[in-house]
Amino acid sequence: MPVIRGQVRGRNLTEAQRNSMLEKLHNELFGKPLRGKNASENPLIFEIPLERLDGTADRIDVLVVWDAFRDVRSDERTALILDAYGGQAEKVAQAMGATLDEAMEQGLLPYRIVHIQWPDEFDSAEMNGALLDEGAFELGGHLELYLPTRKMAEAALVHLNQRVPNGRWGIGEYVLS
Amino acid sequence: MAKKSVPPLVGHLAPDTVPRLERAAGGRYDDGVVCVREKRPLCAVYLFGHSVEMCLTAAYFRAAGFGANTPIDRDTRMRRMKFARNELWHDGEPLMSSDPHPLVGWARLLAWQRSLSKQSAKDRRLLDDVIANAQAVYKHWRPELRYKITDVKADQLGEVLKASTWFVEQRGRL
Repeated sequence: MPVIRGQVRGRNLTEAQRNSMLEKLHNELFGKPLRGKNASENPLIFEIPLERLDGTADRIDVLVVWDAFRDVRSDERTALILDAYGGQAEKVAQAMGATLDEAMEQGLLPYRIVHIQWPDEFDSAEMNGALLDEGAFELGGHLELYLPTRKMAEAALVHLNQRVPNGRWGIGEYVLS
Repeated sequence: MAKKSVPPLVGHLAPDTVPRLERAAGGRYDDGVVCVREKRPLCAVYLFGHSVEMCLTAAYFRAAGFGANTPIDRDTRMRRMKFARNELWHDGEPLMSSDPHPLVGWARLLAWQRSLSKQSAKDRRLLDDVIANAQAVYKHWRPELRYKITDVKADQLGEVLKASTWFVEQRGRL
């Protein structure tokens, strides 16, 4: 029977590619992040505090969703993210990079903020502004807000209800079968 | 006289933390030993497997820097498992398989986490033992055992009991 060996997949980034990605990550973290971006062009960065029982936290998990990670090895993605944090990397307990497709397929962003809106009931600019302030991104031509933890989704819900009361906001959870 | 309503047990479950997982691992192990004495080997294997899973997850989260009072909630656990399913080990395979209760995957993830710091030869041998003992249990155990009626042979129970006992004795040292 022939031997079928799995191959380690993943392209090696050139130095120029790596530096370009690092610059974009650094700018998102410490510069002026873009609002309403889509993951095909810009990294979506989710910082998840690892809270103690008393509510304090000094470490975070970081999830970066960015199509630029396509075909890049997992360890290389992690290294890029940590390099982007620079001197603050020690607060990062775990860094994980994923493309948008991977994030959706693997359930990395399982909580979706949903709302029910009758036509002309609300100013769509107000709705969109509220969503953007909570970190919504462009997906399929629409603004969507997907989040990695229930706690973050619940916090977003509180803010959205304050901004747009009666927006019939809710949280949908996507469970992988 | 008004009847007092019984509060739901699930209403007062504390969040998982490293120490609580280790205590629960000991509790499930002791329950498994009772099942062995009562000649309920399938129940014993089922409980031993969960005990090992808790020993391994506690060890991993301790290695990952989770303090005694940092909860390990479902989202955090799932996120770490997804990371492990993407990260390749030196054998070219992902650290963790897609199985829902991957004992060997948790052992490999623990070994990977430990490898990020300097290790002695003794540390490396211990982690090799972690993986070997996880494999010994996973050879016989799946959570689906809870749905099954099957005979358990003495040597099958023996392998699971030996490896589970090792994990419980190593709690806090992995």
